[in-house]
Amino acid sequence: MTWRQQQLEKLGKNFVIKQDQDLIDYITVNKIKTAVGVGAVGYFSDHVQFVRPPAKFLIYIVNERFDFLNLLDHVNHHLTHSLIKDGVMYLALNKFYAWPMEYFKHGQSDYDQSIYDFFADNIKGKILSYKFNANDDGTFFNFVHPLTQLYMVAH
Amino acid sequence: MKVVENYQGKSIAHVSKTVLEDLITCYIKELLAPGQTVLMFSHGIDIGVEAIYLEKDYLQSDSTLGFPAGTCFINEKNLPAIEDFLNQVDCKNLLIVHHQRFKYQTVEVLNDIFSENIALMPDKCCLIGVVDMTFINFNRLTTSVPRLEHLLHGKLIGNNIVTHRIKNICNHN
Repeated sequence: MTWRQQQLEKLGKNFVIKQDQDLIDYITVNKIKTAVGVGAVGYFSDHVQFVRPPAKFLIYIVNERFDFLNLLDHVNHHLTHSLIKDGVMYLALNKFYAWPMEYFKHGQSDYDQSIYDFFADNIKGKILSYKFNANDDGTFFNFVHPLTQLYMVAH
Repeated sequence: MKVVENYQGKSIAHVSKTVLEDLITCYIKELLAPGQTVLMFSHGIDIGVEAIYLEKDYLQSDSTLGFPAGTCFINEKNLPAIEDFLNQVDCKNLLIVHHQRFKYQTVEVLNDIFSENIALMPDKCCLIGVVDMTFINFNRLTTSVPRLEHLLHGKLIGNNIVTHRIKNICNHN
C-alpha cells in the first residue's frame, strides 16, 4: 500500500483531498486532455492522459528529498523542452524534503516567500500563480500531495 | 465526492516504533555518560544500551509497540512526576528520540522543549535529543546545515539532528 493510500484510508471512501480536487478542477476547466507527468503523478492518470513531451500542460510533483538547485535545473529543462508554446507547468513540492542551504544570505525568514523568490528569480519563465500553506502542522495531507504549488509558463 | 482539506479531527497520531540507522545509535552511544540512562517518550526504540523506558501512559495498552518488560508509564503532562522519577533513578542520560512534540516545530520551539526537559533533570545529567530534520519547521533557503546544527546545539547524523546538552544548575539551558 502506498503512503497516499495509507493516509487516505483513514478518512474512508467517497472523498477527495482539496489539493487533488484543485488540480482536477484546473484540468477540467482548461479542457486539458494530455499532459507530461514528472514525479509522483500516478494518481492523476484517471483525469489526464500522460504523454511524452512536449505537451501543453506538465504536472511535476516533488514528494521526495530534493535540493533546490537540482530542482531548478529540472524545472528549467522542462519549461524549455517539455512544453509547447504557452504551455503551463504545475509544480507541487514538499518543502519539508528540501536539503537546507543558505541560498539567500540576507533573505527573509519566511520560507514560503523565499521559495517564491527563488523560483521567480531563476526560472526561464514566469510564475502565473502560486499557493502555499504556511501553517502546515501535518494535518493537511502535505505528504500525500504537497501544498507548495506554483503554476509557471516559459518565456 | 466530498472534498476534504485536512484530517478533520480524525486521529493521525500514528505512533510507530522508530528504527534508527546504525550510525545514529553509534553516535548516541558515544555521547552517553556513565550511569543510568532513561529513554523517554521514544516508543520503545531499541538502541542497544541498558536503559529505563519511560512512556506516555495512554500507550500502555498499545500492544503493537511492544515495549520492553519493565517499561514505566507516566502522564507526559505531569512534569513534577517526571522530575521525581528522573531524580529517583539518578538519571545521568535523558534520551528522547522522535518525540511527537518535536514534529513541525520551529527551532525556537524545539529549544524551548529541550529546556523544559533539562529543567526536569538532575544536575549534571545529559540530555540527548534526536529530531528528524524532515519535520523541523525552518527556512531551508536561508539556513545551511551547519547553521541548523549551531542553532540546535547538535549534529546532523543521517537525516537526524542529534542535540547533546548537559544540565548545569549554575548555567542550564
